Amino acid sequence: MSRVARVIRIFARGNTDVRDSLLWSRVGGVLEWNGINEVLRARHPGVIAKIRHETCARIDLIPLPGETLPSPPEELARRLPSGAHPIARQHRSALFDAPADAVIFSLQSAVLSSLVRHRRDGWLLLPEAFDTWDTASRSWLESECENAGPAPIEPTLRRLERLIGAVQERLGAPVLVYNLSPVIPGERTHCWLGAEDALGLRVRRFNLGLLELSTRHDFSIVDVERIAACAGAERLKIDMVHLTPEGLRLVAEEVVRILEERGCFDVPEA
Amino acid sequence: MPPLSARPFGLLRSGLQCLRRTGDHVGAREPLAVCHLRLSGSRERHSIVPLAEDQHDLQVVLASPTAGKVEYRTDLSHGGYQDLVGSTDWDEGTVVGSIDSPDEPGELVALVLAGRRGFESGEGRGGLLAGWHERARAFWEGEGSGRFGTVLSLGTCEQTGIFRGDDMAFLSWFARAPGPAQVVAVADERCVHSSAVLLQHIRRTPADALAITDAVQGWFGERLTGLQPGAFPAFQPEASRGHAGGRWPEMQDLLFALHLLGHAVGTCPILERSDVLTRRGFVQLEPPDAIALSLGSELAPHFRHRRTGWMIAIHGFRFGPYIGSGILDWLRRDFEPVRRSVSEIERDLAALAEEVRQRTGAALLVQNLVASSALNRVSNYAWLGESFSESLPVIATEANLMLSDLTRAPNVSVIDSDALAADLGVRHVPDGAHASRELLEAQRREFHHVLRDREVPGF
Repeated sequence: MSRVARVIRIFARGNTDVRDSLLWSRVGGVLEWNGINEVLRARHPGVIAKIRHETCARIDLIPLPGETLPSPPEELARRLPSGAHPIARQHRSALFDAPADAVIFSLQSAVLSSLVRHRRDGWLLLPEAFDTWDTASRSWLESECENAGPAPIEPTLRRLERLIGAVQERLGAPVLVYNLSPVIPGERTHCWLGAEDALGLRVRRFNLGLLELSTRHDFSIVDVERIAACAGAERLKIDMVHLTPEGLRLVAEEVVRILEERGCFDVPEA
Repeated sequence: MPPLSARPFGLLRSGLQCLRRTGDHVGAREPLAVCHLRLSGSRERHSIVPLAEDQHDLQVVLASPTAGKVEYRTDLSHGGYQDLVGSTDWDEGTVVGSIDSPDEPGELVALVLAGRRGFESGEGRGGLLAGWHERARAFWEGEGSGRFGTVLSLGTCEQTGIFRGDDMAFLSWFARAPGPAQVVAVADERCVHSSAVLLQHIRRTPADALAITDAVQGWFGERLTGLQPGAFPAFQPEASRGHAGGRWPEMQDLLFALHLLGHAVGTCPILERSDVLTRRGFVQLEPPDAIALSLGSELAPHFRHRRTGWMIAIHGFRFGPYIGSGILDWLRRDFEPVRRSVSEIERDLAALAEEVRQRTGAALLVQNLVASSALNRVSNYAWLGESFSESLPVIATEANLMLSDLTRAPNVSVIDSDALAADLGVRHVPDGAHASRELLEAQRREFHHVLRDREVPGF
């Protein structure tokens, strides 16, 4: 008689870091890491994680319950090119549509994504892979939109704070937030003059802000910075955001450890 | 033997102690032999005596200029104190051995080691730079002919490994920097060189020095007044038939206080000139071109003397095993503890950088803190409550960010130990401060890279 698997429902909104560690990592058609269920099979036989994953244009574009964010008109969303971040979905989320046992966010989009703002209507947009856009689309964007730059740290963390509060109130689910490792293997800077907004510094500032946020709210940090530093970024990191299969496994194991701490695998009493 | 001179003084050397064996294969700049040096000649006739403060621990390490198989002459060592004290004239041109090398063999390359003793009569001769020195340095002309560049290390113990190395004799710098170059390490066993301490030191006036001396003298008087025979181990009950502890405990407190005073009223190492021996005679060098500091120094406990404002910093681990209860009582009574926020550290470091820029033009190379730790597997910090802002990961991260901002000053560079440790893995620095050989080499490489980037001569 086959045993029915227990399902942990995880809602995950994030990009490379979240997808690669929780779902899979495939490089050149080769599966390098098969996601969190690899860890669960060993540590919690009979439990599987069902991941509902959304890519994240940026944390501040995730709507709060009942909120409608200004977004590009549908016609435009269909016309403009988009890849992993469909324009029609950048300002929407199924986060609050169904129950979840855990919700996972990441700082990656907040650190890395630079948006454009429509000059007249004010909506924001991530023009993903802009360099590959056709001439007409590029011309339209350049004439209609302006650079809105990267996310400011304090307002973004305040937005994340509200989001975490809403998840806890509406879904009652534990929230996990990935931070980032600021180390770029082989890159050394000894003078930051004129490079105050360098990525490494920005990551450190966001990570510190996230630590501070965790003193006021009951969510968990998936400390990718510590994981990479413990084993060595030379070994675990390919570049700023991509981890080796070993790194992805360690991150997935940390997610499972936190879920264990949060009681997500506790069997409900009959 | 290479040319080396202390003109107008004479130069005596001891017997040579071989550091390798005949038949060994050695690399270029790898040490082959060492001897002790001594200056000779009349000191009365000269107002400046070169290396006067380092004269008792002065050594020359001789290295091969090329790689190859070495064969020593057999009569180089005289044994005993003849190998520890200079007694025969420096003999340029003497053949000490041969090397089987495809390259043209040349004269040996000289690395001079000089140690300034904390206590002049405290003999500790033996290996390379043996004994306790409040300042240790190494200099070499190498094949270069320009001016000497000097880097001064004022950091905590983590910099001992980087600058002095496993051998404690700066050999890893000798191997990599062509010269003429000098590396100086000033010990922090007495007082930690934080920016607050250094800033006060570099700005100290004669009146300040007298006030500090007066404060120490007053405390000394108290300690030595009204002693009873029982205070001395030799006269305690039953001591006439033998005693396990022979040392007078009070002496350690008094010595430590004297060292603190000596540190405070001596020349600030940032401003200190230094004598070096060259092929043509001794030369006095300007103050250091680069100063290596550590953010770790900023976190050491600081104390301010209530009456004089004198600031000292002492590593916490020294209280008890190294520093007796007398000093602790003195600190409690006459000093107030100083808690410095990250923004206060920033203010002091910025002021120090500016002061140094104006006084000597030196660059500050500041090592940041290793913020990541294998021990802190924490995913939520709510449990820390109000103490969150004082927790080590937070302070380390804030301080590192502050330091990155400080590099806007033209003479400040950061040595990103945090990133180097994260690159290799923090298992290389399990306690957050003391790095493995591999990480030390990465840090040394980074210091070297920055020194070259800043065009410090000889490196």
